[in-house]
Amino acid sequence: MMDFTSILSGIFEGFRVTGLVTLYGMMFAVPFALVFGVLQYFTRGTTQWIVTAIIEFWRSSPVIILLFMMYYSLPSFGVNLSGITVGAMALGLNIGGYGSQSVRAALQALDRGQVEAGKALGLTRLDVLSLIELPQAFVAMTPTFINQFIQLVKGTALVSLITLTDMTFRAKEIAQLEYNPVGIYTALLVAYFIICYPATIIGRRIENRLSTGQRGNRDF
Amino acid sequence: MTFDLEFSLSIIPTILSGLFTTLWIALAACLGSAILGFTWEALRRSNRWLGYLMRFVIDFIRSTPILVQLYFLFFVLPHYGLTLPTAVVGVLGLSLYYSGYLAEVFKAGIEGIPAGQFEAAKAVGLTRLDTVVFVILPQMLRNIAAPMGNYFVSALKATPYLAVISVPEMFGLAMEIGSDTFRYAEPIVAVGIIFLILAVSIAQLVRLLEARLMASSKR
Amino acid sequence: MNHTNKRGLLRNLLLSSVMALAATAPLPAAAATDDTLSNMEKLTIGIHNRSPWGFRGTDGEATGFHPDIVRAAFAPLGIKNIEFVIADFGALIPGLIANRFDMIASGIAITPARCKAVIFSEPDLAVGDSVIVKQGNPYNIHSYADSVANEKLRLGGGGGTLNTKNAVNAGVPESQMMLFQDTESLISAVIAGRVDAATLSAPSVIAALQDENIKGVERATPFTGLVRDGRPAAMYTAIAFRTKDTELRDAYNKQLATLKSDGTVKKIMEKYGFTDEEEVSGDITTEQICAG
Repeated sequence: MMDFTSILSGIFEGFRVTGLVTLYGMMFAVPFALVFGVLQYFTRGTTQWIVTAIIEFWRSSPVIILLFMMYYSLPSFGVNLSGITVGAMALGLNIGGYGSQSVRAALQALDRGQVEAGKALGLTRLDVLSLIELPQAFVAMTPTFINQFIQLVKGTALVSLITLTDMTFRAKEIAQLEYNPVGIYTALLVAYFIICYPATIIGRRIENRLSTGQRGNRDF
Repeated sequence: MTFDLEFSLSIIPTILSGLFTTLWIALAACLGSAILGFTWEALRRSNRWLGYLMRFVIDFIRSTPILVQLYFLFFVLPHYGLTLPTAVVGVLGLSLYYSGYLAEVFKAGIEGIPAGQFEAAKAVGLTRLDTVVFVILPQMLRNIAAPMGNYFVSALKATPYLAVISVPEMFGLAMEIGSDTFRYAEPIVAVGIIFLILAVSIAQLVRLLEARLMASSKR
Repeated sequence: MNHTNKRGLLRNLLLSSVMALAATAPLPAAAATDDTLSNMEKLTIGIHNRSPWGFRGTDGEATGFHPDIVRAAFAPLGIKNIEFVIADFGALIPGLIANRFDMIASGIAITPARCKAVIFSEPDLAVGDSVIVKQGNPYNIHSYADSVANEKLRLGGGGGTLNTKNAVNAGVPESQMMLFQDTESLISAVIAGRVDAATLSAPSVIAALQDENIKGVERATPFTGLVRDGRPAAMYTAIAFRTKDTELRDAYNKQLATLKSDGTVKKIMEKYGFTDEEEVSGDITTEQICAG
């Protein structure tokens, strides 16, 4: 039977795909969250409705369905995307959809007085957005983007279901060669933990620094 | 193969036969994660070292993909004598996964209660249990109702993962149709639209609930 | 602060969106399909990673009965580069249709239903069903009829496999069947007691049980699978192509005939433990099997 370390190193052979899908996924998720979050905050009426519909489509569809749809169904409409593109787009846009809500919330949480003051100073609405609101909102959004990264890394496990050779796929491959579910799936959990736990800790540090704790003794 | 609209309409009844399974699993997962989440949070507050342990357990669960956790529970538990029906494994997996997030929600819910309430309860001499039942729970339930509703929607959207451990929910049924008829396009689009409708409408209901609760709290 | 800040910000937003799209452009597209045979330099085959059919060998190349035959068939035509994609068995045909690979070389059997979705080469092997049961065969399962007779027995099968179809055609009710994604899940289900037996083709069972890490299960012998016209129905395996790739399929068939007559097929059969029992008699053609 393979020993734990060789199983773990076998699983990490899939790290390249996990990393690529995460990286490309971020390149979809971050711009989408920013652009659509701002758009949803900014627009009204029909435009806002369209923006919301787009966000909701990517956000409220189960990721696994988006993946399968893009991987298996699109080719029959003539669109042949590579597996990695499908993975990055589906995951990235889904997570970006969630991110857009945090962006919008961060913008809404700002004091309206700032906007009015900016306008009173003669700045255009767009100036107010880019010079006053966004920079302040960025501070609140940072934990969101870190969270998006962690969600993406975890989400890449799903691309194993569309035959991409990520860490989860490698684990299942090893399982076909040698029946050892306890060793293999423990190792797989450990592999993702090694990557995501540091990011979670960092995210929490940043979040703590940003939010003021609520004082008072709440033991019971 | 081009997309066959008639076919995709004809398979909708088959897919919808899994709707009940999907819904009850999501509901059970919600309750399970609420119970677990509350337990984690209560344990965390009671003892410093237990608190660190709970923090670590929650972090571990949140640092690993739900898919992998499901595989783990499906394959490994029987080795220790625990062979559960696949649907139960699914509910267990989802409950564990979301319990971490719900522990945070409960934490925020408790912190949303003014500190003075706790001090007053102690001053008046209420026991721990009484404090929990009469002071904390009512206020907390209002605070957490909306997030809970959102987690129900999340659990609903997570039920397709259970297809990989052979649970007969809607996505699994769609995949079965796909491998039977060799047409993946139509079942996937059909089940995707069903989920989209479900998720959006339930999210709307949650928003209505939230609005009503906000209104009632302003007495 | 001056106006360049605002412009800079929006420009950055736009740039990152464009970057995201541009970065994905050079990523490899799905397997080429329009190339005529003379232009092709490599073939991509779909396998489901099970011995002895099609699996990734220790050297990282696709090996197994069908990949070996495909390699032997296309080498004389100048195509030496065989790449592969691993997919769950039930996902092989959808993957082929979605242009993810050029052919399925992984123990897929010819059935009339499949013939409507893809085209097959001439058959290369005739195999029968088999089941894995708990050690000692406590429920005395020796045929699908046993499952039909005892409604407490649960039978596991792979999603989309002919073995599962055979069980259903033999009368096993769907309520007694459980479908799984791959062989690992099937074996785990028998060991865990989720099902009482798991159906796979005989060569798959033999190969799977060679893993000494699997304990507590055995192959049920004797076993009668689906019976048709008084004889055990054989499953004929072949290579599957997309419906429009007739040129590719015909080229392969021509090579296959040569390989059969010069004994290469026999040699490859022996390499993977197949015997004369699994040889396809010369008068059975794909057209016949497709017609039902």
